[in-house]
Amino acid sequence: MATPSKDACLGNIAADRAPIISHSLAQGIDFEEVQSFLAALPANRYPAAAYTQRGRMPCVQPRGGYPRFESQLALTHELDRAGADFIPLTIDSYTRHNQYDTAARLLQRSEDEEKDYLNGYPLINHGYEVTRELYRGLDKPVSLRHGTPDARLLVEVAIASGIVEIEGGGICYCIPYSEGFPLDRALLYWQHVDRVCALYSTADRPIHRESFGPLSATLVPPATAIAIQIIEALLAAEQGVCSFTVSFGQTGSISQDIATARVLRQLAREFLDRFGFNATAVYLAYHQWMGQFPHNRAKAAGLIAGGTLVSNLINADKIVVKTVDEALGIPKAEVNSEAVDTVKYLLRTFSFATPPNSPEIQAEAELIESEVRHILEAVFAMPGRAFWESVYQAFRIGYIDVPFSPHADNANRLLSMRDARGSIRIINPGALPISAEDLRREQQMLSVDSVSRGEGYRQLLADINIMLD
Amino acid sequence: MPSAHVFAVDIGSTIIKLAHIGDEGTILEQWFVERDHTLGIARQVEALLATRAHGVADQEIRVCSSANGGLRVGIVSLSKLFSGASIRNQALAAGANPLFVDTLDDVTGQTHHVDVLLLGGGIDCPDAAPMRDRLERFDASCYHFGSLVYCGNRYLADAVRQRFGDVIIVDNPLATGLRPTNDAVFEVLRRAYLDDLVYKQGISELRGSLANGIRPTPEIVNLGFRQALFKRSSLHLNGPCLMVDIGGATTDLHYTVEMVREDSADRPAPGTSIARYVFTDLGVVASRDSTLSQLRNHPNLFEFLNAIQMDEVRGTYRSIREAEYEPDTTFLALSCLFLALTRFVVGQGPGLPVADLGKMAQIVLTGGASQLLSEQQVVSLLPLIVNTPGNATEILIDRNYRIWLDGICWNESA
Repeated sequence: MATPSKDACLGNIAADRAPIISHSLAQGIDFEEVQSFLAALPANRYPAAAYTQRGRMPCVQPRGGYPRFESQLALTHELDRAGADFIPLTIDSYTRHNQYDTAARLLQRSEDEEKDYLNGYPLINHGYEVTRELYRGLDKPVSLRHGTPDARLLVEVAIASGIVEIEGGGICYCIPYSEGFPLDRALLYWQHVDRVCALYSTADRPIHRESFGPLSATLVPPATAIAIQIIEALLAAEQGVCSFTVSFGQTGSISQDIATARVLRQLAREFLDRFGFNATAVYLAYHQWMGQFPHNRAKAAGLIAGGTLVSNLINADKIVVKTVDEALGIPKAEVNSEAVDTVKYLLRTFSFATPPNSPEIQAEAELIESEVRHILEAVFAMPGRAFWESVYQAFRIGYIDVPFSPHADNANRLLSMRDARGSIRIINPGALPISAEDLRREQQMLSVDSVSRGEGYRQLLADINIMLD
Repeated sequence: MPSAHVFAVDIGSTIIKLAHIGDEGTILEQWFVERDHTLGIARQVEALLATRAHGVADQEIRVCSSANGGLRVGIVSLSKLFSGASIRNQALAAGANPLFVDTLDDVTGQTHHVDVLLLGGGIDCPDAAPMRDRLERFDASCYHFGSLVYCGNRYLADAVRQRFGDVIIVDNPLATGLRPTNDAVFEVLRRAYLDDLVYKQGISELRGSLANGIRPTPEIVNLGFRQALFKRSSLHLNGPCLMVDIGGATTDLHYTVEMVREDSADRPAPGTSIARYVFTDLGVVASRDSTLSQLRNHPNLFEFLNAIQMDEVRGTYRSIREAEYEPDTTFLALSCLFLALTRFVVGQGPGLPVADLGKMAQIVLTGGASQLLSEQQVVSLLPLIVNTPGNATEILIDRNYRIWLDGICWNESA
């Protein structure tokens, strides 16, 4: 049995870092030089500052990444002008898979033909010196969005570039994205990443970590998402990370979103404190709908508006926004900036929304909280010499189970559907260690108004595609 | 960390390794003794223990062996990517050497003789007409084997038993899903491997407390590799890593699976983190001739000789081509390494995935023959095989057999 502990901190990882930053594409990253560079950045480049100053409105962050430097620079300026509070840097998928030579070839081709052959910015190939130029004069945080199970080199280059919000985690960037990348290796690699972030952090300028809560974005029960968020916060805190954002994706049910936010925020704090990580600040991000988006732009705009209002109701620290072209592919810079502008407008207009606290939401929150506690206590009781090993074992036997994950280490035994109100319900828990009473309540809620619900596969498809026409 | 005070013994084909391990895994004493084939394994080991492990309790003595080079197994399954991969994975983990993975649709069979033929496939479900049809068509006479083990859909076990009366039935590793859920194949092969060792190699004459606890060396080495990757070893491993164990009869690869190319047709079984592959034709003693034969026909032989900075490259090249060359063990070890790596980058071998060695952060060389190599020799060799700019692969030669010691000393319940 291994619970989260400060004793799990990797400590001095100079020997582990040396071979990573000796890669020629790391361009001789020097720890002291990067420390000096980070110390000279404007204070507002750090997410903690943005969160402190946000007032009533959630910070707004779009997504975006283009292969060529000039395109990325133009996007950065466009999003900055539109009022984005966080500037994104989305990484191409070859870099995510550590295929830097392929990324280099396609970057060259993109530049030669002035046409994009990569679906994001190949940060490692551009290098930190060039990328620093991307953000010269910028006075807001830059967020690294990727999906990389082994992000050790990527994060070194990102931090050296002045990117001090690092999204990801051993679970959230492995289980939803990969079929075969071993989870135990991803957990170990992200331990290293967390430690690097902690080593570059100072008390007033922490390198910020964020987990990716939507996971597979397909009928993930809130309790599963919350348990994973808390686990990733604890794993990061073990390594000394002191500024962390937990997140989740719009479920499709407003009452479930409100309940999820309440439980996530409360339990993240509670479990960090329980294991002695009182100094780790925790924030909440909300992702607009991450499932299949409507092709119709008017409907997409409506969906974006709905998500924005929920982010206000739950008092999210940040909302990660989509665009009306989400269903069509990578949006143009102007479409992306329009999305930021629209979301900002909605947040300003409805800035004093008060979270409702109906009996329905209260019951939902109680159910989710009970489930999360059961899952986490079961994980803490797993055998293992370190907490990460307990987490790994918990996945192997299905105590944590992400629906529709392609990953071989995920049990894929949990089945979920929507109830008549659109909330996600657990039909078959697989090995999920929730109580019989919680399962009974899940199924009771599923059966309410079930006369209007279909059965089986077709209903499952309809539940997945709930935001289509 | 390994448990304290262990006396470790590895009975190899040519060498017996002994080590006395103290607190925190420190090596107090270590010995390497050539096998005395006139004496027999049991008597030699008992004599060594009497002089070097005097006063050490039996429960502190741990023995492993690879003396017969591993059990040879063949696999016939419903699919290569799921059931075949799962069965092969467990066979490798048990220290056995899978020679082939056929599907039930392959009707030509194999000429290799294997000690165990594993027949499996499907998940446990009563409605399995396609699998049933294939099993009915399966012609065992196309294969040459000592024992037949069925590890497929359990609902078809009775039908298999009716056709093959002496078949051994074990649990289906896949059970009801597409990933392994039990170690039934691992256990049956490990038992068979050890029985084979005990009876063929004379280990049965060892005192019972030692003979009964003996484990296959490949399993121990794989466990040691795992400990190092999980940072529970003095050997510092970090990142995508390959370990090559060059022995007398075989050359084993142990690797972290993130090095497998995404487009590789063959893959380790789903859910595998660290995989093993064994080349039964590469080795420095028992497999000396087949190693030389492979090298002789290799299209990059000349480049290989250049890379390892042989004197008289042209003369050596000609001599090898004409089968007149008498290599020393160092040359054979380098040849095994070269051939194993060149096969790994193209997936040349039954069930061997295609590796992207450009991702390899470290390569560890372990085993007796590796002791003869220098880091510089490996540095010279790698560019022939790994041509990825930027990545500097670290080379570690396991001089003290740390991997083996970490594996054999590991106490799972500690």
